[in-house]
Amino acid sequence: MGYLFMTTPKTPSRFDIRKFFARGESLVATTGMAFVAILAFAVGGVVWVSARTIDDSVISQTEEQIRETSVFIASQAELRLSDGDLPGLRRLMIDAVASGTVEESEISISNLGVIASSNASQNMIAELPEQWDSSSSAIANVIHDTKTNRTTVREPLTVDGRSGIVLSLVINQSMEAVGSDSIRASSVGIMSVGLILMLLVYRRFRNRLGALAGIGEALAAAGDGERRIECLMVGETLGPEAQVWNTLLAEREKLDQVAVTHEIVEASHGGGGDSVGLPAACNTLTQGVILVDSDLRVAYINGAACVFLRSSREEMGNSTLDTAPDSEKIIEATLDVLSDHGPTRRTLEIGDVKEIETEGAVLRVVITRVDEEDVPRAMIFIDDVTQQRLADQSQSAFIAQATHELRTPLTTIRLYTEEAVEAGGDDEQLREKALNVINSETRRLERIVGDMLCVAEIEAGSLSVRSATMRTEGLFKELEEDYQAQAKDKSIEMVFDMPPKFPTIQADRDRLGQALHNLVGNAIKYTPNSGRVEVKVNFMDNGAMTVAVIDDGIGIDESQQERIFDRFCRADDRRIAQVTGSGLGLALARQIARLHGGDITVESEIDKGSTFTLMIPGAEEMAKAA
Amino acid sequence: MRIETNRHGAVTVIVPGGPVITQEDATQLRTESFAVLGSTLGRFIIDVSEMSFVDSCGLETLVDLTDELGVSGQSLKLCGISDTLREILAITGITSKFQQFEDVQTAVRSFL
Repeated sequence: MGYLFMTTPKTPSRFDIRKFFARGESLVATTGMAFVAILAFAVGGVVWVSARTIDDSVISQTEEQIRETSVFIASQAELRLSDGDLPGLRRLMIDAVASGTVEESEISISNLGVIASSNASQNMIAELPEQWDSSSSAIANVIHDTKTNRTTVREPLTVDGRSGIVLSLVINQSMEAVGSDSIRASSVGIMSVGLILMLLVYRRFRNRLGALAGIGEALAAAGDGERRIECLMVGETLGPEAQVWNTLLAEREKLDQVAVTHEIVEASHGGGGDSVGLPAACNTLTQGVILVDSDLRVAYINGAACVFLRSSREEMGNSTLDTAPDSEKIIEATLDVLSDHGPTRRTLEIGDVKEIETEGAVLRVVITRVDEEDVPRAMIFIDDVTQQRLADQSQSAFIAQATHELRTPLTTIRLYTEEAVEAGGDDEQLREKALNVINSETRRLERIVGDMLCVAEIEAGSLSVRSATMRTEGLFKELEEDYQAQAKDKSIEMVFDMPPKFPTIQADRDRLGQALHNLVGNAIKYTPNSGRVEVKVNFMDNGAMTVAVIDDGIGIDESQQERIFDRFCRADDRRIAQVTGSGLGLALARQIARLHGGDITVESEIDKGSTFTLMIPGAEEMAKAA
Repeated sequence: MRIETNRHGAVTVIVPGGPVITQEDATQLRTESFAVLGSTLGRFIIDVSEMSFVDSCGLETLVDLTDELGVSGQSLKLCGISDTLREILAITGITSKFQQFEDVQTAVRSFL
């Protein structure tokens, strides 16, 4: 039902039965319902078993009665048969029926048929023969027909050692206890009615229970130290108890605010100064706190607020808020909050991230109305959010740039794929060109994604290199092949100045390749058409390798030369605004070089070009650096 | 002494380029740091990775800076502290006056 919005402080994971049962109405209701249901089914089961036992007992008694009756009639019949008293036998059959228990009775001999029956018309002989076929022997049995509810008893008779005579009795006596069915039906009915009533009662009182359970939970949380009103309030829709509880909490909150305000005012008027109590605590806040009266007179101001307003305690104490420079927006918002029909809370941001270079800042100001004894006052809270806003801006710029960077090669791949598909097998030259472009753009995409992953690794502090002995010839050859087409497109003269011999170095081939790609890619990107890019590789006597990437491009201002190695950072030059770039390449390249124990340095002059030098130390130096 | 000032977003990083062992070094650090403090509302860090040693004047400068920041509830953020410097701060009993960070990036991120 979600009536309580509460976060209780974390406690050790030991099971606490009190808290378990104080978890709320839903648990109480569910547990209660389950308990009642189990109880109802248990009672039902007991009633059912009892009815079954009664049934069994009644059936047993009936069977015993039938057995006694049949044994008695059989013994009397045997006596009469032994005496050859056929009329007496027939009277016995009639008497048996007349007694009420037996419905039909007859005695038959296997080869002669019925000799005595309660129904005289069925008697087949006039006199009892002296001899009969006594070879066949019947088995005593009792058959109950549930449809007709009649019981047929067959009892073999023995007369002077002769068998072949059978006594048949039809007894109209139920073998079931009819009364137990009504007990079962009644018990099921009572249980159903009970459950329905319980559901109706639960529906009626569910909200009230919810409110009480919520209040109970809030009290438990308060007992654990929770004081935030939003965590202790319960849903208003849960009934009058919830509304009263919330009102009480709101009143307590208001009293707290008044007490805090009062304490601040007392303290600011000399009640102990700033060195004790709440004012002293407020002074340790990095958030600026100001309390102003309805006429904007500053009743209290903490140190952080003075710094944010570029003022001092002496200037601000007992003066009005407009004493602080550039406080117009704060004053305007404060007056709005203090006005009779204005909002009780206002939030605004002042300053612009663009002004950071000129000592600007972005301040987040929250103004809340605090009435004390019907006198309006306003609390002003100030936060410096400059770095957050810059980070947000960088992130947005990065996402926009990354999207653009990814979309460009994807578009090229799509266009060339369509062209190759349309050309089919007819134009082999076009197909080959398309495949080459697709291959080159795919590798570009791979590098961009690799750069992004590397940034994530740098952020996580998990970027590492796996150095191994490697030859660099192949690496530079690949580099030349990868950028030849791009250089040709811009008519850039690309020169690879390689040494006659390539000694082995200790490096991570993939990472080093990534750094070199970023350096050469940047050089081509920022060199205008018909320019020149030179890649000069040297090996020192100590085994170190230096790769200088020299271009005669737009150059970088001296003030920007270190900054361009920052992540997501690009030089402030309007000419590069039209060139796509994520601002990650140089940061990654330098990070990779440093992880190898080397570095990347830059020498540049505006409009004359730049030289980026990557240095990877020899194995010995690298071991020292590690 | 060479003192570099770099900007990381809205955070200024002051990097003393060597040990602070003379009155002149300490005065230079004080002047530059207080100027940055005043202009950045306290959004600054001192990267002491190249400051292998600091004398009593230098320590006094650092303590004054953190006390000044304390007025607005902040404290001085130092990063890249060497073992020697850490030992000096511990012996003089002022370690707790500063916030310490492993590197510049971590220190800058603490302003978020």
